[in-house]
Amino acid sequence: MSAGHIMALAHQTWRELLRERLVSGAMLASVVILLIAIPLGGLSLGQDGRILADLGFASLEVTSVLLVIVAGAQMLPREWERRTSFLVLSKPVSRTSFLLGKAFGLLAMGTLLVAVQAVILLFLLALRGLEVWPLLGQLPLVLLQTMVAASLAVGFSAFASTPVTLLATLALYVTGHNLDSLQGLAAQLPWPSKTLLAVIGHILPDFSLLDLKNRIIHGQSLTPGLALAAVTHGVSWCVLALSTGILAFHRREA
Amino acid sequence: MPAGEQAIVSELVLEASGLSKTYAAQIGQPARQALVGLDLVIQPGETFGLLGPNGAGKTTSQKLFLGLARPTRGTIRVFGQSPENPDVRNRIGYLPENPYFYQHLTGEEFLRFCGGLFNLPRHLVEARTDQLLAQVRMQEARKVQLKKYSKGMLQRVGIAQALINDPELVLLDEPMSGLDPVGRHEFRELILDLKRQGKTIFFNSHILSDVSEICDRVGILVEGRLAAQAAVDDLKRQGRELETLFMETVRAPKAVAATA
Repeated sequence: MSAGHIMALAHQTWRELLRERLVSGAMLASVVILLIAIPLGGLSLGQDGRILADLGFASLEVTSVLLVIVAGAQMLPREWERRTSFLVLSKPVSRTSFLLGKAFGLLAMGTLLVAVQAVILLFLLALRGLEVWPLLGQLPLVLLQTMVAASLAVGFSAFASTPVTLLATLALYVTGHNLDSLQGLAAQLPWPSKTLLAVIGHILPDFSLLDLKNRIIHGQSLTPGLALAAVTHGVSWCVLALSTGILAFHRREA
Repeated sequence: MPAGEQAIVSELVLEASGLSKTYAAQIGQPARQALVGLDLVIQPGETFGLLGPNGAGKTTSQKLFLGLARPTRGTIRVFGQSPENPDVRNRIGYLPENPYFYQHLTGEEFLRFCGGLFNLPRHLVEARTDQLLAQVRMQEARKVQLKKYSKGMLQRVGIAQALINDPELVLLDEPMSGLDPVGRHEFRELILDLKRQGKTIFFNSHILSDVSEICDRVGILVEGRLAAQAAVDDLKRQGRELETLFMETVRAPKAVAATA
């Protein structure tokens, strides 16, 4: 593994994504949603700032996560299909460096997307007279969700096709946001479905742990314990997803 | 001469022994034997042309030499090491068949990117990029995105990227396919120039006239088997045409196993 190779590949991936319509389209869609949220906020007297913050953070999160999932799901399959991977792997580049380079390029793009949307959102919230500083605490968590989603997509795409990767990653993301409901459902079912669902609920990534926007928007503080749990959970899933992807990618042949 | 120096001088560039590759069955496709028991030795400075009809196993053999695929049986040593060792590939340049490069990059960005993959110092990458773009006559298109390049231009920038690390071994997969006569002539001159520089060149082709003009030695693959090998000079001395040897070999693959 070489830091130079990873940097070169991450830079190339970043540049490739920047020039893709998918990214500019996602950015535009997000801005449109944020602008729609302003008149919607006016419908609810006295609550418009919170609604705008709710909608804004939800839009920011969904747009960023969807973008990295769609881009990540295509990334490695497209490299094989177009044989650009042959070119890179014929150079002294290890497969680990190749996958990490692609993943880091995608993560950088996800970070840019979150940052740009966050600036627009916070500006709109400030215009509405809402205090934006306490809301900043949610941004690293949105970023972490984006990173987990990107890592899962890249990890799956190392051994699965684009449609399978898309479905699997989206399923994990949606389920990961609803693990409480899953556990509630499990409690009502007979054995063995109960045990099976309970086990599944414990082994999936818990995206709700990284989603503390309601808590923050409604003025509750983000405790160090909660923040540490979220960061540990998110980073562990990134490492696990990418490590699995690397193992699978090493077995793959041209 | 010191012992270490002796070892470097006598190092074989490429050595394949009993090399076989079978692609596993997939949905709707049976298992396919792409290469069967290939024995081959390439000496330093040699230009070797691997001939064969489509699907004979030429591209598979290059993938195995680069560690892009793994043999089902047999061994490969490139500069005395496994091709799966990334360090070996510091000494190799490779032009894939029908290259599809990163289309969003310009010609010079693409060469810089490839130079970066060899961890070359920035100033060296810049110098090599300028030199190679001049060598393949692509200076004017250096700031144009690859998606706007013609097939011939892609081949030229493709050979430039294959030479960015000043490799000792150059692997070219069907380098002449899709080129017009002028492009083929220029490409032939380029390969001959590499040969004069003492590079070891291994290329796949089914254009016999190019091969007989450029190569020192040829091998003919038929249905994954190396059915014949010959030194081009020996063929000339015997008054035999490469085309005759090729057609005889292809028409009777299992009967012919001649080494001229």
